[in-house]
Amino acid sequence: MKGNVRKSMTWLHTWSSILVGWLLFAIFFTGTLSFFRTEITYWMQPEQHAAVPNEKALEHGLRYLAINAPNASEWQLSLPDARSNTLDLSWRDANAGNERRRGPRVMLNPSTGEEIKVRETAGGNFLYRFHFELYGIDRTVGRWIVGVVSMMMFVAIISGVIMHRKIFADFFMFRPKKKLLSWIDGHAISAVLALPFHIMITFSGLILLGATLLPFNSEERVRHRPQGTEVRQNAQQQNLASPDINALLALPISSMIAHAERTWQVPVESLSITHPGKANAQFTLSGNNRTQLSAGRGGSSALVFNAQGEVINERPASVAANASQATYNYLDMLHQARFADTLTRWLLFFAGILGTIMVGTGSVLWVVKRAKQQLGEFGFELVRGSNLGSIAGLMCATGGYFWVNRLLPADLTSRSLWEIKVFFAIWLVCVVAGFIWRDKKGWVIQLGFAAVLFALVPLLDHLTSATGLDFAIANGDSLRVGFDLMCITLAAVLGYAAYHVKRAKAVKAKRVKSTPSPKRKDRAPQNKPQGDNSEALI
Amino acid sequence: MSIILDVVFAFVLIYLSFLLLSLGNKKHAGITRLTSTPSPLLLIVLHSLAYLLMAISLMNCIDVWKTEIGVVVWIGLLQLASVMVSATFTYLPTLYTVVCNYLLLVAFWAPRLREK
Amino acid sequence: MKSQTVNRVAINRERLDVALRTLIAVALGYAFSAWLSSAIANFIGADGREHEVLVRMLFFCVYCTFILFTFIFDTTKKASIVMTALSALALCLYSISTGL
Repeated sequence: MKGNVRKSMTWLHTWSSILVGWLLFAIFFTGTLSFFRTEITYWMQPEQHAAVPNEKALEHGLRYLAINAPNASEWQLSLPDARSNTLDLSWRDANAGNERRRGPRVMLNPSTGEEIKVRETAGGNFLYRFHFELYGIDRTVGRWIVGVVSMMMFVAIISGVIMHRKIFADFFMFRPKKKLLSWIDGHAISAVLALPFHIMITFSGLILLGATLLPFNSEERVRHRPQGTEVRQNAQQQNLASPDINALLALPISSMIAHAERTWQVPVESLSITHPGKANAQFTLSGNNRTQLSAGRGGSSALVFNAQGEVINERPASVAANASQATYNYLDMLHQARFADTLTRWLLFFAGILGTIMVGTGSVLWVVKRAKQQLGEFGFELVRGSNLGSIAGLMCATGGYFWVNRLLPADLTSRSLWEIKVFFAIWLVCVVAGFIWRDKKGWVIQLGFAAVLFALVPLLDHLTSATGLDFAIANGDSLRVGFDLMCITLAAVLGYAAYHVKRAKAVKAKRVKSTPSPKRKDRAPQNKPQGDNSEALI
Repeated sequence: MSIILDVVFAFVLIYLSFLLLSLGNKKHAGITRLTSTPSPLLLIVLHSLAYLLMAISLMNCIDVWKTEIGVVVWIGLLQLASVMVSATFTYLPTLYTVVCNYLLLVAFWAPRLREK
Repeated sequence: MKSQTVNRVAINRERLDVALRTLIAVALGYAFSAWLSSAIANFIGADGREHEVLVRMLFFCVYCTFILFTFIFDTTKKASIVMTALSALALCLYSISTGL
């Protein structure tokens, strides 16, 4: 189109990304945070912070269930693990029959056995849902918008790789303090060094939205309810005597857990007891023992024991039926990271941060490159303003979201809705402010505000939680301390960015001109600044 | 504990391999004993050593996490290590120089390091 | 004055080119990708869930390639002709594959 392949790809890369960069940044940022949505929800429910994992967790759980759900046909216990400090119980009433409604759910403190009543919060799930279906609009419309934007991102990635002339020679090159060149290097580094992740996450995101984006392709599938391996007792045969607590505690559950952990080399995360307290009780233990992502969500195996502690059955991990399904499952699991242990999750998170930086630097780089020539033009000022609101404004909104979670009363009705409203209100204010003060001043104010918000999060956490940070550190609450440390890190980055912008030479925003200035090809040729080889890349 | 050792081992191997690969750039090689971009033959030697180290770390990752997840962890470590190498060159050039010089001694004799 | 008119014509011409290419890439590309990926899945003999996931994965790869190629051609005329011809071919392949 522009004379040669590289120039065409440059043009395509620029336009397919800059038009939607403002939304892409939000999708990437909230998506990256979603890797830790369970941990974010944990932080946003400070009532959980008193929970300390303990060997007595199982005993407390059984005791609670024996007293409160004696006639249940099934008990389920989720033990504390790497992503949860609480003991979560649920049960299925005998009278519920074969209905698949969720039964009552209760959260216990594993060390004391006391019930924890948590505040209602939008939590990490709001960020998770926002990143693929936005908020406040019809779900299908939201998914379509995200799908279109993701497709443009995919085109931008591939065209970006094609247009990058010295992709191997400049693989590790980052030149700070060089204005435009630094932005180009930052954009290239964050894109190229995590390229496998970016391609994977965008492509898998698209295929996950495939049901919406490809309506011609939907298969009418009848959901077959999986038959359980054990026969469900019907109500007439129900023995109405409550389980004896001592008999329950005497069961060799610990040895079952030890056996399973020895077999799998991973901790047991959940235990399901059918016909609890009866002679024919069955104990199904499961954990994150999957080794095959291509198996999909059923990729973990489970062990079934009888009341004497003997293995009576092994529910094997499912296997993909064919290569297409295996590939699809692999991409599905990678995108959602449901399988990930701590290390893998942090590696994916790091790559997600690089992706967010890639989108942000790309948007800023576009403005910096054209500042001298296009200052005052409508399109340029529009992007300049939207960059502020979409990047710095989103940081302010996220920080505000965490703050309002702690400042709102715990028993306020619809408090999760209020949290979300405040998030969008702050963002809206920042977007409007970003259009009005779209130069250096605007960046310093918004980045500085966000930095202050995040820097004070640990203090806010200490003052507004059921337990202080000293308790968290003493008990090794890595979920909470990890969240606070990440906030401090983000505050440091934002603070440094604000300081850096403050020191930089100002390019004052100009009022948008009424008559457009001549297009680039009609202008007199410009002398390239010394040492600036920006034309080499773009 | 052993999983931490495995991760550190894999990461260090990948980090060293990326250091070797980075020597293909004039500016990177210039601050080491090489003083300029290596000759094509030396480049092949350095790259082969780098890929060997990567292969060993990949085998280690597959050993710990099995193939499907092991590859994911390995690629994640590749991404992290490459950023660390770039950061090392930019902000800790002395460390970069020292480690690269030691790596180059592994490749071949010290007297032949300087390019004519 | 005359140069200004010529510039404005050139700018409008370029905008029309871009609009046409975008339309071809997006709309015709969607159709092409749907036809081609469905045809491939049909020829392989996939059905049910396998067909659905295979089409999903193929669709986006093909779509991205189509979009990139639409913008590579020198002239919009060349791009329109080639991409339309390819789409017609994809439609034929799809018709054949469903006819089997």
